[in-house]
Amino acid sequence: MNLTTLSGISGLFAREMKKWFRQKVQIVFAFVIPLMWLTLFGKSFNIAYFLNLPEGIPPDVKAIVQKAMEEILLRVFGSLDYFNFFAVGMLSVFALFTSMWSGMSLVFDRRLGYLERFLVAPIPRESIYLAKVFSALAKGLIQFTIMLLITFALGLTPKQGFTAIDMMGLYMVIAGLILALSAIFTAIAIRITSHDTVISIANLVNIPLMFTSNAIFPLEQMPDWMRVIAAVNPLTHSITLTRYLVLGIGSQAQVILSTFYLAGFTAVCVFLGVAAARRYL
Amino acid sequence: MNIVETRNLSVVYKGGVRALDGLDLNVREGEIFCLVGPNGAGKTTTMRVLTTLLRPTGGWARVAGYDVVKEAGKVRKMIGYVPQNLSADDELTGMENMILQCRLYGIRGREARERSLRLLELVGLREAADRLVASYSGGMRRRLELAMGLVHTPRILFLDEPTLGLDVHSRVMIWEHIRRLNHEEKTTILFTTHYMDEADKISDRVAIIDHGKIVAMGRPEDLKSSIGGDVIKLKINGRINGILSGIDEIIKVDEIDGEYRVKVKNGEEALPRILRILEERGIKVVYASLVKPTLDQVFVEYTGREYREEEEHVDVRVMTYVRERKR
Ligand SMILES: Nc1ncnc2c1ncn2[C@@H]1O[C@H](COP(=O)(O)OP(=O)(O)O)[C@@H](O)[C@H]1O
Ligand SMILES: [Mg+2]
Repeated sequence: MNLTTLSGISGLFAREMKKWFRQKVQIVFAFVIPLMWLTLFGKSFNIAYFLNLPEGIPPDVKAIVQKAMEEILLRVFGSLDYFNFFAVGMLSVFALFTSMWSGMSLVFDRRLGYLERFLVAPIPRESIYLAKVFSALAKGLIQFTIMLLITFALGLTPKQGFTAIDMMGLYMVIAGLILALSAIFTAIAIRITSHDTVISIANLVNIPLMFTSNAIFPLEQMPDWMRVIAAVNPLTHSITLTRYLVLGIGSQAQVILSTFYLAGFTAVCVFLGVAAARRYL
Repeated sequence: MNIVETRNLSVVYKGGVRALDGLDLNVREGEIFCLVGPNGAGKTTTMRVLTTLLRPTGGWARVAGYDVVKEAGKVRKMIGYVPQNLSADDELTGMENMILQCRLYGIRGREARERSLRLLELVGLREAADRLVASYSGGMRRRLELAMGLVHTPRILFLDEPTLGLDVHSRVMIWEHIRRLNHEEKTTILFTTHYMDEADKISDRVAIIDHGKIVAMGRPEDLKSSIGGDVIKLKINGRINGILSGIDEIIKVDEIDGEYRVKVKNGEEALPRILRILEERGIKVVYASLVKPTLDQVFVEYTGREYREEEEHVDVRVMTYVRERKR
């Protein structure tokens, strides 16, 4: 990679960011849907309520049942506060919500003729693609930071002994996820000429990806066929890792598996995206 | 030396449109060369092939000695391109567009800023440098595009319909810049237009393109004289009847609706001689006018069709509309 390439990528990156910061209204609106999920869904489901047993049960039985229920809930959700479980999972889902639009600007650049100007420049084709992916990553991480602050404000309580290292780990996991997803969605957009197609794809993938991960419900209680899908869904692995880092839920074995999976997945996505850009852009 | 050369170049678009059909072209270093022809003739397609944006389906093209397909990267370093459809980002300011353009060519920091300012000054946009391009007029946008195409001082500049949709004043300004660039920086200019008069006035050489083929190529004067010289229209009281036979420049004499059309080689010299002879014979001249041939007539001669200039419908306003809807 030479100086012209770097200067080209940084120039295109700066352009994306400038344009983004100028769209203040869109930036604010991007938080509306996530906020609704957190407050309306996250706060409406209170698993601690299950511990309120019906009247008329003898006190000794009641104590045993309550204890058993508590253990079950802790085993499944890792916490008696569903909001904790849910909010950390949704941080990855929100990363999907922003990344799935990352192809849009490429489609518009093509339509409005901006892309031609970049394509006649003596920069490698993939640098145009990489600038898009990196800017999607930067935007995603800024939005993630704000979402994280919001979840804390709404009552997310991290595990005892949550350290700066856990925090760095959290950022790395989310960065990996955003990078992988932006690499895919931007690569898909290389050959798309209509923004309607981008909208359709985004709408098509968000629900299945969200529900076939452990974002809302734990994996362990899903039917087998769904667990197979969940196992390859990058969201699952990002969520497993972030729950481990923030809430202390999950086994070491799972964490190691998910780390390798997510890292490998991200590397493959970026690699394939670059190859696609070289060939088709 | 030929800085642009194509041989048997053809492009067939998906869907079967044959946009270029064996195009042969050569542009010499340092000249202002014009590709002129009606809408849909294949001008933009030619430009897109020469600027490496489109792979030809047949034939080859070389720019600055490099093959546009196999050595695309080298070609890109040599060329500047101002596309037909405006391509400056209108959500950025003029200056921001210039800086981005510099970065794409590896020019950074103070160097980038200084160059951008100098070029914006040159095209008269210094004052508007920090305004969003969305607020520019059509003429200002074209001038910005031109400045953007020049940041890396290309050896050859490709301009696709640089005056499309502009008023007369803006057109004159654009041409002044281009002439100066060609003169002072020795930049080779290859531009397209569908205005025959523009092609005639500005270029050293022109190529007339029709249905993806070059139908005539050469200096405008030569092309015009190739179809047989100037025409002198005469209305006289009396008849010519061979009295002009002593003038060598005369090619032929036609009489149409009581008016004589004398086709001559060199109109300026032939006209006074004709008038003197008619006067000596005592024939009264009602009127006499010299009609110089135009490239339109050249087009008619070579294609057998009338030349009609139609404004292309993708113009500045349509683009603006698309952009506004996006917000
Ligand atoms: N992307 C495309 N797909 C299919 N046909 C095209 C495309 N671009 C241009 N054409 C067709 O190719 C021909 C030449 O177009 P073009 O090069 O744009 O002409 P000009 O610039 O001289 O007006 C036209 O018939 C046009 O409709
Ligand atoms: Mg055109």
